[in-house]
Amino acid sequence: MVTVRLHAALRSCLPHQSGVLRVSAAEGLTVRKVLQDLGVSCGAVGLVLVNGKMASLDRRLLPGDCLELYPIFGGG
Amino acid sequence: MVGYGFRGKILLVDLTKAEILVEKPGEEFYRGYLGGPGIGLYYLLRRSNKRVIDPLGPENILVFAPGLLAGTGAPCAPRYTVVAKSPLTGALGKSEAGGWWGPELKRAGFDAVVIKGRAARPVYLWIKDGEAEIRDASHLWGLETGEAQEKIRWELGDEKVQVAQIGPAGERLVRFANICNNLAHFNGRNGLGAVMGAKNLRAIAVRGTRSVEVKDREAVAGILRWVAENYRNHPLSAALHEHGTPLGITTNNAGGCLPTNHWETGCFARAEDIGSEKLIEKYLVKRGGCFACPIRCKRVVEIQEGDLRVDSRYGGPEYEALAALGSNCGIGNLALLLKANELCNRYGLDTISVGMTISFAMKCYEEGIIDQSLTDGLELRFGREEVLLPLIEKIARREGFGNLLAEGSRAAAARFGRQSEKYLLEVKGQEVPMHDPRVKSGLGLQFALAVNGADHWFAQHDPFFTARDSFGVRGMASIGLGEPVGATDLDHRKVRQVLYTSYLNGAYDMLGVCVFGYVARSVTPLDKLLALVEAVTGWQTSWWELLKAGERMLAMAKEFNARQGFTVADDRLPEKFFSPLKGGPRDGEPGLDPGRFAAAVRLFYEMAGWDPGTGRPTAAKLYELDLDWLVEK
Ligand code: SF4
Repeated sequence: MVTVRLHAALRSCLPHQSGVLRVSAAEGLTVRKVLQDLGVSCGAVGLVLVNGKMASLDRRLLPGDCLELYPIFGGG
Repeated sequence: MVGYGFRGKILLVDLTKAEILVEKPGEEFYRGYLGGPGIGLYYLLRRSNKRVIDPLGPENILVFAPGLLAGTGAPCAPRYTVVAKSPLTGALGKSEAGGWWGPELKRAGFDAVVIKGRAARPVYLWIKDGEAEIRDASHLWGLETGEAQEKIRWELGDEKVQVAQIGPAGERLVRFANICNNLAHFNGRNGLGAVMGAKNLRAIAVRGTRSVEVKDREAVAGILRWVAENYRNHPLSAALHEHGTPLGITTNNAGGCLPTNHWETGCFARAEDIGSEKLIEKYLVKRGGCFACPIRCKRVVEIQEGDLRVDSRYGGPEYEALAALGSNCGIGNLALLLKANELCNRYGLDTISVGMTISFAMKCYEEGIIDQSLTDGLELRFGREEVLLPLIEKIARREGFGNLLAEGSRAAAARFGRQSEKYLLEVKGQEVPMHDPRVKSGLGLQFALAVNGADHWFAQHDPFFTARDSFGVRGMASIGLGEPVGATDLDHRKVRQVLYTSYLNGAYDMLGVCVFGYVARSVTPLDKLLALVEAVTGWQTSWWELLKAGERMLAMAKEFNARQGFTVADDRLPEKFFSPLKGGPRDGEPGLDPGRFAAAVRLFYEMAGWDPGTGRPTAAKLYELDLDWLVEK
């Protein structure tokens, strides 16, 4: 399983507000695929962390990984 | 009626002579300069007449100019620009604010107010439906902004009067004093409040009851409806409504780029405590907005009990205020930050420069450059909550150590000496906003190149252009920005992206539209904005014409700066941004490369048609932009 944690404004993409869910780590699973399955627009994501390290949308996810997604932000 | 969208009248006020005149430019003028900073710079350049101006002298020209679409019912287009020479930077001062004042001025029958001279005693200007008068403001002098607004509305007998004003900080010429309207919207940067203070002008009160004529009211209303129906479905505008800009606190912190302890690191241990979710949970009383904007991204906060009462009339903090006064000073107490933000609003101070000047003093204190003998006994260590409010009070009143800080961080460094200037984080004398150029190189170019000192809205931000499905790439392919560029790339494609979007943001300011309402940062696409301009004005126009207008405004700004003695050498960045990041997931990543950065600045000049030798737009460029009146003959 992969733990997915959505932060702040991205949380409203999930039906429940906790922002945390677990998805099965299917062969070839990428961050982009997780976003597609959740219906989250890639453009809305500003920061991807896998196990606390910066990662790209094409990063492969493995069982036990923790994926964190933060909304894009620029120009307050 | 002279046209659609504009009123065809400019109010010219000479405070020395107590004289008010009206100028009536033709439609051609509006087509070239649109509104906002276009009109502002036109009058600043024409009337300052090639001279080097004293920003606090009577010769400084202060212009208030709403954007072309302001007041027309166009969505998310409330903005007006204030333009003058800045007392903080000595370069162009240019700062936009939303709210209601800009639309009200248009409804009162004017496209701009151009002010010169200096009143012999405190005055305010009262503009109502085509008429204007100069009134005594002695009884307002020294009052906080809230009290002054109440008194003005009471004596004019109308609660709907919109008041743009300075507070006590502007009266005392604090070099980063701001101008507010409706107590919660700010022309925050460049110290333009001090220009009003120096002119003895406390406020401009406006009431307008006449709708601005537009060519196709149905079409304008249709686009407003479209925004109202769609903003909740777009992730960016939905997030702006839900979280406002304070969203940036936790997201930047997670990315290791939240300015902390005067930019020592990008990670703040107490970020969650001052982030948008905590703010919503504990202090938000409602989401505020601006004229004709369905998005309502503003925070309104209140604290009714305890030592830190916060009055909701003063709105609430943006990301910039929470970061500058909070993480940047090591302070993670949200209630205190809300109070600090409210105090800045009561006194009329720019929260970014306040936070950055305080954090600079803290850094110098921690490094042993200054001590308590200079700081009025205050122990200025990062995270010391008890010093924040007293320092704001001292700055606003120019008391003791506050008098020194009120000159801005660069002047403070000159007083501190002992190589304190190496801790300065400013460009052209203006303290940098809360965005780190090391994670977005185009932002670094903005800070360096912005005509009005370090500015974070000179152009669009890099993260919106990094991938095929980024909102900027999808939304701006039609103006030549359809190819993704990496956030930290620094090649010709990045320079072009900053250049084109500096024209775009210039056009946004001239139209009076808010960056939080339009692509790349929000829901409304470029084709709808173009349709709006056509529906409002009746002109058959194009993005070519609008971007050229943005470019024209920038060329005028550049010419103004050159006349005030600025060159390419002033378009630089603080050393900090060439050193590695510290903390968080980007720990140790290199900063900007100085050689490549300097080359990119130079390339920008060449692409823009600015001469790197003189700092001016070339004569050819001025001719191309129909600015032959600026060519040195
Ligand atoms: S998006 Fe926010 S700042 Fe912009 S006009 Fe609307 S309420 Fe005002």
